[in-house]
Amino acid sequence: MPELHDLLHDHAGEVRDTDVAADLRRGHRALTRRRARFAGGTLAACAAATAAVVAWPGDRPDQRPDGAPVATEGPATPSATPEQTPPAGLLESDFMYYPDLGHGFTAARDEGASIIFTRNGAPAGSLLDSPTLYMSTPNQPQKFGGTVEYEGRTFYRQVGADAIRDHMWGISTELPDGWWVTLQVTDDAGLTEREVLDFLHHVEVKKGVHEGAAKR
Amino acid sequence: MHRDTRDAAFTEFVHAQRATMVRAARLLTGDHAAAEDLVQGVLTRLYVKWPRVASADDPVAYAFRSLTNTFLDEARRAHRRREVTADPHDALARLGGTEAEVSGLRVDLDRALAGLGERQRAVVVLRHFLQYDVGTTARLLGCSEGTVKSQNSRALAHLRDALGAAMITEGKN
Repeated sequence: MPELHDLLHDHAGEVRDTDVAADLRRGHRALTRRRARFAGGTLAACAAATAAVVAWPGDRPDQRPDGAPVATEGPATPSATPEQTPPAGLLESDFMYYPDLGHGFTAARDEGASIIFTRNGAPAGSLLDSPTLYMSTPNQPQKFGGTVEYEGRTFYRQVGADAIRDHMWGISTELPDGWWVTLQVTDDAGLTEREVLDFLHHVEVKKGVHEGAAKR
Repeated sequence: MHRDTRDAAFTEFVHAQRATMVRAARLLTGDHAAAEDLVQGVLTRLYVKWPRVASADDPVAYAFRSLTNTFLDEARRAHRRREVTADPHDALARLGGTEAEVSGLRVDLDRALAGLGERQRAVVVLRHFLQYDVGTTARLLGCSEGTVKSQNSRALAHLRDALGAAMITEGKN
């Protein structure tokens, strides 16, 4: 009386050819497509966010929609307007407020929709070499990878195969108004997931940036 | 993880597991070509996710979970349920054998498996072909142990009905 296991083994038949090279080629192509899609989405999101904001003069907190500077007592900087005072403990960039990243990192290049951080005043390379904070428009949701909850918010973790590069990982979250912020870091940055979650939790995008983009 | 490292580990894994994956897929799909397509798709996804696969407690179990879940997802998406093959020659053709090579019991088993629901078939393959225990099968399918037991029980009852009560025993697993 045959056992089911034996029947199934017999029934499954033999497999003679195993073309591992073909499996590897398919894997390479899929990984390349995935990375290109992700990188394209990320860079397009940065570019779109930058273009959206820069192309709209009124987006600049220190300018009126017609492009004329707002009359202020001091220098025409975003922080000079009363509603644009940085929240306590946060640093200011052109479009965002963000907490200290720690580990000796400071903003080395502020491109509006993205900020590249380096240590010890080193010049900024590309966003693939250094921790980078960037904004994405609502039509570029950064829902890559698994999710993690932190302080009542949902964050998306791009680690391992979901990361843009093997040596990088990142976390994204959606802001209340539908925009997204992502901090992408290199493995050697020394940042922990908890630190990145806490950093992103405190990031804010300036009000004028949202309004300007919403008009477009 | 660098590409060379990923490629080497993936290649070793495919050498060791691909044949078993194809055989399991044949039992799930009842079809040579569909089994090969299923395994190719799963292996491609495993390569893309390789760092996660490699860091799993049991990469082989991860792969078979991916195989069965992909099979179940595709079956659900297509709303297709394998029909009980009316013509044994169709079954022989799908098995890729000739009548001389395939015993009557084998054809009957093909029909019997085809008559199971996809989830019952997945339970049979995981429990009795791959010989995972009830707890592991439940974890791989994302259901309770009770569900595995009841699906297994119904599946075996169906197989015994189809093949004759004396034709199979469950074994010790």
